[in-house]
Amino acid sequence: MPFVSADVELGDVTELCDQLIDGSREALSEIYQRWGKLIYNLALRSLGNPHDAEEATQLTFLAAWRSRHTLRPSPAALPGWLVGIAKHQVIDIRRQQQRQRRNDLAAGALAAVELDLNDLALSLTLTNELNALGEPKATILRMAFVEDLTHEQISQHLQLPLGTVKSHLRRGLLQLRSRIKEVG
Amino acid sequence: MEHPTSDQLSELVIDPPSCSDQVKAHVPSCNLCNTEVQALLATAHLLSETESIDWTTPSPSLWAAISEDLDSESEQQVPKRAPQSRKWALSFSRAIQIAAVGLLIGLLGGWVIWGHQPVESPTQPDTTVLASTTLQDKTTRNNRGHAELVRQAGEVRLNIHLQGVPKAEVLSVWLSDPQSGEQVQIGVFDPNSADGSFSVPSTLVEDGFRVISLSKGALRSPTHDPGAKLASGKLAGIASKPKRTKSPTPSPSPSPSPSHADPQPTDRPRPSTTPTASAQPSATATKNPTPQRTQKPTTTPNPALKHFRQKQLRQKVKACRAFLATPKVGSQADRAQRAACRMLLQQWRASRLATPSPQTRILEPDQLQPEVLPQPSQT
Repeated sequence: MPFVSADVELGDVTELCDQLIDGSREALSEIYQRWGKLIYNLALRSLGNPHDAEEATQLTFLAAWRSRHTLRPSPAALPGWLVGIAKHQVIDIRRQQQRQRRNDLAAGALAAVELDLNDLALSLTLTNELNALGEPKATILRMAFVEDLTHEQISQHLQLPLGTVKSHLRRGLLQLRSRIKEVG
Repeated sequence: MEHPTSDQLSELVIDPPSCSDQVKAHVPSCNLCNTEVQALLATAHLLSETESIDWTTPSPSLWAAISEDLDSESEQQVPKRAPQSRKWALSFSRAIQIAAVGLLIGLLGGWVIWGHQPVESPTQPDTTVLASTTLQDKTTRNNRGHAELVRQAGEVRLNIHLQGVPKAEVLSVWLSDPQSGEQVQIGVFDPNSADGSFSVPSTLVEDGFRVISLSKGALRSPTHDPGAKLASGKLAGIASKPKRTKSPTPSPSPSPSPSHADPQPTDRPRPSTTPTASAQPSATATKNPTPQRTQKPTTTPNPALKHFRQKQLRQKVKACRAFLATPKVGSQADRAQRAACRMLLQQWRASRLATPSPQTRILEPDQLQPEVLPQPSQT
């Protein structure tokens, strides 16, 4: 089965960070293309309605633009940094919603919301980054960890050498670990 | 031997039989590598529990709206100059010249009077320092570093700079409430870096969690294991929320969540529960594990604290399961850790089987031997 590699190059992401810090709107647009869906889905699942989710996404990218100087250019930092901003926007919107209802969320309840949000952010980021790994790496990782197939079974199924399968698994796991470590 | 490469550590997780004996022997005795392997295991475990997600695509107009906001913002920052009459422009220009000369004279005068002062580095935009403290070794009184609580891009963060701390030592950062004695782990330092930046739930600080403690090891609480405590300091100058008062009669939990009465073992372990070794060149690369409570509260429990405890318990159970799934090393420490993990799992199952009733309590994490998690062996 032929595969086209759509791997997001790490150097590419670092360059994107540099461009953003330098004030490039094109870089922000590219970042939106790559991670906008992640941020929107995180907000949608946390806030429960598309209107609020759009507002949170909009505020996240505006805040990202304003605070771009705080970003440390590295491929691992970018998704974590964006998700971190998004989580605070979600919390703020929830707080506003509660205020409008004249029923302030207790500190404890807000902290609980933050924790749930952390789990959700981690799960969504992992899935997003798994998809961004490109093929055949993403499929191999899914087969190994989600479908629990042996390396030999994956090799036979994808008609790839066993060494290639193991190599993709090793590198894919390292990439995922690197990309989610700043989230949470 | 030298530290194995990341690829070799990943191989140990993916395919232990293929991994060289040297690597297998090295990892249990090296904090740094053990930490990295634990983080990779946690990622693998999280991946195995990943569900298929139906992604919702945001409306195409969303980027247009963001773009529009950015445009209007940049217009406000650089206001377009309206057409002006030549006379007004000249007088404005002259006023600017006079002001500039006055400013220059003032600056020169100031320099002559007060002399040259070192120029402070400018604060990063959008960063407000809320509080700061020096971290001191309580035994030797040595200064071990400096901590700043800042609000940055709408987020509260604790930035710590360490001094005189041996490298390659895994250090965890805790926030505690001196009144209740409760503690929350907020992160683990990258062993290769003297700087750390940790996200802090703002509600915790407002609730009185102001004392910062550094402890050796990834999960060693300074309270349960005073020997692990390295340094501490108290953040001052933050407005407090009124503390809850202890009610004379114990009342049921305000709003027990379903997960409280029946904690779901399907919750994912987070890689953040294990210390992380950063692969980033950045000196500030750190990790924020989920806050973990370690001490029984003495005041009325806050719902957030209960949530933390349940979280901590579930994370420990997951971490134990992940640890028991790793290949046995055969050392005494490994056997002891496995026994402790099995005990935790037994207690967890027993607590799950117990029928909830007014007399039945779900075991709290601090009742389940808080230190049973696999620790990177101290070298």
